Amino acid sequence: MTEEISEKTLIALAQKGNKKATSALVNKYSPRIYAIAFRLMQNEEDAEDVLQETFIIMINKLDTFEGKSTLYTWLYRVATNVALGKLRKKKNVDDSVSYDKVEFENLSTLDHAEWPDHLEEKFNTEEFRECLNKALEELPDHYRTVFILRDLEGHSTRNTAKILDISEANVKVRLMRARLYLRDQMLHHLKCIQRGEYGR
Amino acid sequence: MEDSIKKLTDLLNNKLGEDIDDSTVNDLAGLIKQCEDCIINVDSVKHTINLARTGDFEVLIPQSVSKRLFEALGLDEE
Repeated sequence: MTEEISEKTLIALAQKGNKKATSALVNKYSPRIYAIAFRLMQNEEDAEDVLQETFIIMINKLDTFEGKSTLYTWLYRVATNVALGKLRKKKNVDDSVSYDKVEFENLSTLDHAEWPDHLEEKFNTEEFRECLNKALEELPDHYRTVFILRDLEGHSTRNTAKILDISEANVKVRLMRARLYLRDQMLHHLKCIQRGEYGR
Repeated sequence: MEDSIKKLTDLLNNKLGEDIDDSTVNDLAGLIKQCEDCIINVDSVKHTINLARTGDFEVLIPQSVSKRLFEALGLDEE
């Protein structure tokens, strides 16, 4: 309760332009916003850009924050939108085109679904991370974002929907497709590493 | 037939996402037990999620990044 009051007070002060209160908010939330930015962008430079843009937006738009969600959720939403915008720009393609191009319907075939016993035990942590990163990189942004928010960051379906401003049904569909895609890709990459195809 | 498989796959993924109530989970658990392919499918997706969580790592903000952030915002670091 004390924390809630002090956060409300900090926001109110920051909305009036109090620099100390603004610093306190930046200090409190920048580590978590950087973490999500890094996960989404997958490199330090872009994560730093997203971080800075997010807090510049916070400072410029804080007077429009009405407290309907927590400030963290609000910042989180800003950061993911900034990150998605940058990813789209980077790829320089129309988002809807890349989204539809991937043949997700073929990914849920049951005959490719079995995970070989103890496969991952044959790899060290670094190899496994490499595999996970490759699979995540290949996942279209819309799916990767949902997977990161739901399965890695642990947000609920409702919260993920709010952050991304999409319906809960849409979150579920994207999550299902992301999981199936990742499963198939991780299996593929682990087998490639095992065969020495990545210069192991 | 394909429709029912799709419906089941959707339900299974909702189950993995813990988005359905206990009684539906129990109904599904009964159905899954009778379907070898469903067990394989659910287990492999569950496995993927667990492995992704295990392979994930804590991201810490570098001090230099934090310093530049405060500079860019024209604020003093606390």
